Amino acid sequence: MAFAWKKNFSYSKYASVCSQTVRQALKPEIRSDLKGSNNVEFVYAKWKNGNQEPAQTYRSADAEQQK
Amino acid sequence: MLRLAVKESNALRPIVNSVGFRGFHASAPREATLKELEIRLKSIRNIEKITKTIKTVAQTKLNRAQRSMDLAKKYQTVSNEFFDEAGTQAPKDGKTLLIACSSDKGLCGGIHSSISRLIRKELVDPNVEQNTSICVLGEKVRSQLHRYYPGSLYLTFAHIGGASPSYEEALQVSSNILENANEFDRIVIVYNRFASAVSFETVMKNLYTRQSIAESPNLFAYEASSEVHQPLMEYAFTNAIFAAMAEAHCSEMSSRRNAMENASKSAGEMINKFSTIYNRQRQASITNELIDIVTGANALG
Repeated sequence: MAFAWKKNFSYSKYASVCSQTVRQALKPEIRSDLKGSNNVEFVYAKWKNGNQEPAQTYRSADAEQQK
Repeated sequence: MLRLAVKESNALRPIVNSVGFRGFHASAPREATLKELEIRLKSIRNIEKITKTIKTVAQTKLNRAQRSMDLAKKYQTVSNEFFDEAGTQAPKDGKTLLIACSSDKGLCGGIHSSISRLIRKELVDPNVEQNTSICVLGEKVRSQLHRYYPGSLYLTFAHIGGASPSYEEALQVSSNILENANEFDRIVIVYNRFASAVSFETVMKNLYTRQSIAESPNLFAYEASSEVHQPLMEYAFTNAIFAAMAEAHCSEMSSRRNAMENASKSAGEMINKFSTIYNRQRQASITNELIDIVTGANALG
């Protein structure tokens, strides 16, 4: 069943979810060796006709844990 | 002679004009007192210290950013391998999505304004403007473009560009952008290419869409079904965004470093100029006091 995820989201989201899951499944001793650059956090907002819709924050699962 | 020295230094004018309204001066502006000069000298010294710190920080970040940029470019060569072999052509017209890669922070020279200038040049033609949506990474460019093309903005990101991008960040940014990307015929990234440690160059890069992959002349050489095209386009898109963000970050660090170096140099020159004026003023006031004392002594006997 190749590309079962293709109907629902993009390859980028799929790769991101997989990598975050792997990182969270690591043992604590190994996880402390990871660099913290994978804790992604940003704010994004869609625009319509020159008006900004309310901004939404994206925080990766690693960042959630760190907090 | 002191009045002449004071008039020469235009830098002292702000002290005089700090009254708050533009009046018509019937008399000559008064000289700055010793106290005011001292305060100004102290504030310029602080500014020099601050700009020097910002410069050293930017220098360290630049070294790290250059290494990350070289690594990030390798991702780009991976996807370009396929496109070179298959002979894919990036589309040149149609409904366009412009992605501006920048950051939130200032004090970096002309980084943000050169990106918005290039985008404005592209959108001068109203036909092109109708067909274009803009996606912005970074608050600075967003506020600049919001003044000129508020209706064309499509998606904006903030709290981004502070550090060298990780692939995770590029994946998330690209998945957010690609949610509605099927309605666009042409995707273009605008970013600052790192030309050298003293200069950067703002460039636009056409990306490959799924349509252009499907129309590649040598596609038959790869035994792959057509359902691979969409993930391949998304993967290549993520690589392109990753490389562009890394390069933009590197250019920003080098530009900030150069801007702060120039600022420290100007502050140093101002310190020299003001120190001379301050010393002259101090000596003049001492001389005046001596004259008063001697005159008084003479008057007594």
